[in-house]
Amino acid sequence: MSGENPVPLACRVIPLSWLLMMPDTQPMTAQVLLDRHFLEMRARLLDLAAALDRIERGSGSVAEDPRMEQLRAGIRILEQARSDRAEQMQLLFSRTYNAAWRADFRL
Amino acid sequence: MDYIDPHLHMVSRITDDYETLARMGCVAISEPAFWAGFDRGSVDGFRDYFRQLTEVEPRRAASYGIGHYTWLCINAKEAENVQLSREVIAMIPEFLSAANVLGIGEIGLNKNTRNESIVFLEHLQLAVEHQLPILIHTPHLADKYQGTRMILDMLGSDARIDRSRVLVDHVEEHTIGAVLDQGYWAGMTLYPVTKCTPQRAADMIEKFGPERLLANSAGDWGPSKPTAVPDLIFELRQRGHAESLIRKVVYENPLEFFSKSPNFHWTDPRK
Repeated sequence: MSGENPVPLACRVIPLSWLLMMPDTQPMTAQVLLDRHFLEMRARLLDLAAALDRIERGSGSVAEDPRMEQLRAGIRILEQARSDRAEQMQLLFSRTYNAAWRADFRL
Repeated sequence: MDYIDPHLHMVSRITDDYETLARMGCVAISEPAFWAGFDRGSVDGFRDYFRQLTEVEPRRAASYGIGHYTWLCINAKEAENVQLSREVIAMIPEFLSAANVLGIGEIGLNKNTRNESIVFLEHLQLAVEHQLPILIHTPHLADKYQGTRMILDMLGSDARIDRSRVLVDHVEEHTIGAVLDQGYWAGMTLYPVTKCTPQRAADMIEKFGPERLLANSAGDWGPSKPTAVPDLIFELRQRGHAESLIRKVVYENPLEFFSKSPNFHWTDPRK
């Protein structure tokens, strides 16, 4: 293994070969994509609404369960006009990274 | 289209799956050592498992025209037992000259504990000593982000590691950027519920491009689909992507990454 440890800061620069391969990174128009996914997205929203209703009908309360606030925060992410909603949703449901973990583990 | 699945646990699958894979265009797989669904009690349990990976599965795959490669380690879940892990790591070199062993894997973290980290670092040492590529498992669900960052910290702090010979697997939307930015290969696992769908994998290819990006099924003993890679091929075709792009992700990239191993000598088993 090499002794060098290059961190290619520019490795996300799109290479020409990729541009030639993918003249448009998303070949479909927004309209076509909406047509393609509308029923599937509608069904998933219905599933979510029905699951929330089911929880509401259940005995007892989950109002204090922190996962309910996570779900509400997730719904708020859906409402945002941005192109990284999936990444934001993943981070919402992720444990926090502690940069000092090695010191904490004495490693 | 011919394709290669770089992460598939065939010891957990029936022979009919090999036939189905062959019919779907699979020409080769690589099988990282993993958790069998129970904790093994001794180093001899792993020795038998490694014989299965290096002797039995290659024969089973070959009878369907599929090349079989493997990676050896003690997985992150059993790594909580540091003493057993050290015994297994000491035994692994017995198998490193087997013809189908590509490197060390799938090492990684499960619950991001101190013991798992110790065993991960000792696996890195083994890979460096034997100049072998590394295949890395990242944790599931809520632990993935933290665990991936910890893994990148450990890799990045070892100047002996050649990043072009390391695959960080099971990336998702919140981890793929850091893995690629730091020069490693990234694997997307198409797995029900806990990992990535073919649609989301296609999204990541569109956002990040095909360089150093692999797709796998991680088919195993749990609910999983060993033919998930063809599902990704189908999704990319439906979106209108070029055949050359699809082939790069599902065939050329695995070949390029496997070629980092001194043991890898590719001949299409069907020719």
